Amino acid sequence: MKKFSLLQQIGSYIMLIALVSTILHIPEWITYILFFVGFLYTAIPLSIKNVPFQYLLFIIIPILAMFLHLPIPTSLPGLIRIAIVSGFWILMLLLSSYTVQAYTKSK
Amino acid sequence: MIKSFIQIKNWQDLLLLFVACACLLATAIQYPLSTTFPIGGDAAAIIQRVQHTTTDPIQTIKNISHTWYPVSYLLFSINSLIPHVYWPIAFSWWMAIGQLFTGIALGILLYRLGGMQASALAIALWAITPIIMTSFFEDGTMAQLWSLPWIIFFLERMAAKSFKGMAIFALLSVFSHPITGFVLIATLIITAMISDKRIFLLAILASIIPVIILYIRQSILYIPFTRESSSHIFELLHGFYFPWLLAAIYGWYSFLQKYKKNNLLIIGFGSFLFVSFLLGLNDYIGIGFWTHRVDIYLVLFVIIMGSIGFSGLLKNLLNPTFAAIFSCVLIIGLTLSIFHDNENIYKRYESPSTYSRIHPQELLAIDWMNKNLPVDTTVFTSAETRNYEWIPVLTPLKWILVSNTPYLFHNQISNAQNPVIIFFTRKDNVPDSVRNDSEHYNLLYENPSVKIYSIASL
Repeated sequence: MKKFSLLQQIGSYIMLIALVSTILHIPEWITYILFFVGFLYTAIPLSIKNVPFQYLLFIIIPILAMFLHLPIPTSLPGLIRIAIVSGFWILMLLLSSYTVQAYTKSK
Repeated sequence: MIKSFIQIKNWQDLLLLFVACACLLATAIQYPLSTTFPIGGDAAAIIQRVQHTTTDPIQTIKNISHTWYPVSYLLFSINSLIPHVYWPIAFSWWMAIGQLFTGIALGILLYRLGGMQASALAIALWAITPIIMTSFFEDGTMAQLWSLPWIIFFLERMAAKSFKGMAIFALLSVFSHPITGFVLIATLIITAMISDKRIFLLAILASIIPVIILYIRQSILYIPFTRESSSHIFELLHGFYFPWLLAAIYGWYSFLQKYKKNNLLIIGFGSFLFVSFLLGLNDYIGIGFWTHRVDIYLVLFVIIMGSIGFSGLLKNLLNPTFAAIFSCVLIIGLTLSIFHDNENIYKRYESPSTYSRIHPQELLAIDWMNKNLPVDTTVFTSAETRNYEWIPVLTPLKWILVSNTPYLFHNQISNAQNPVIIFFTRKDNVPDSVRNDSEHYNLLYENPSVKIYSIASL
């Protein structure tokens, strides 16, 4: 089995406890904290810098979309509203991806 | 891949795979074994399109070519080859097979991405989705269920860098269900724009046909809807499936680490996440359009990444034997819980008093019509309940919806052979104009839930 640093192993244990705690219906905020701490322990020491920022945009932008509602008239049909919202955020994803790619290349 | 699968000698992985497959089988066949009739309003309409495949193939082709789901219908029409097929039962089993097929597809994808343990976990996570996380059985949404394996195989071919395979499964997805097609095309376009210009051509090709269809049938854009929040998403964010969402976060991180040199794969899956997130959580971005139908793609992503993440955690911490036992106990426990919940749901649907699907007395009346009415009889009904849709499925009689305009109704009657009108009285009361007009309406059959009248010329 691959050898893990102590921090990573502790982090993995904490995450596993967090997962099991949700099944045992322990309050959600405890799960969040456990998972967050476990994830940081596992992710930060060795490798978070190895994950290019560009890939995180796939999750950051939809989360942003949840908080920044576009002012689209509710009188419009649902599919058209979905098309407008999706189109806008896809455009944002592409623009930010290209910016990150250009920045990475320039370095 | 098949060769490496056969050569597996790790008994822990095989045990886990066996348990996962058993759980998948248990929750899938529980549906047809626990119900005597399909749940879901769409079942009858789906069967109607393909039930005469062997006797009138041209008509079936015409029926299929006018739908959004030609591939799904084509596959379903295979059932007509079964001698003396009873369509309601065939439909329920076909749904169970679709559930199994999707689970196996997930297993194959995860075997490529994360190995045997992740594959078994993915099968198990899919096994526990009905009905709390997916409503295919409950809604009778056969076409969408049968479109999922194709999009999963598309992702598998993407992981294998097989462009031919991607093209084939993209087309199968697009023509199996439009929502799956939309998710796939949007994923392809974003992937092509960010990463690999080679698949841009594939994206364009895959999108031309639906764009043409959409142009011809613009009415689809104006489908009315009532704003809704998906209960599946609630379970994902706060409930039963929340642990696997957490595992998926770690899984996505592990996936990025493992495949950081495979740009196409990471951006492909990233785009799939992006599209399924926006679509599945569209009520959180202020729309709330068909959330119960469109959230399944996000659930699939969570299953894919959740099984990678959970498998990674187990590998980090536990020795293989303990990890296998721990996973088996967890999977069996969750499956038993789901099995019990579903048992109650199916019992509710079976109970005549809840009237959640066609009532046994309505079926008795249809059976009576089958045995006692001439084959050229025309059956008129209102559109008050979708249970009427079973009449042309279960009898050879012609079925026509009554026009709301009296003049048109008179025309319908005068052009019909042996017209009868039927009322499923639990939802559709007999109007006074029929009940009190014994000169024109003659009561032929009644039971506590049904009244059938023959109609003399009006």
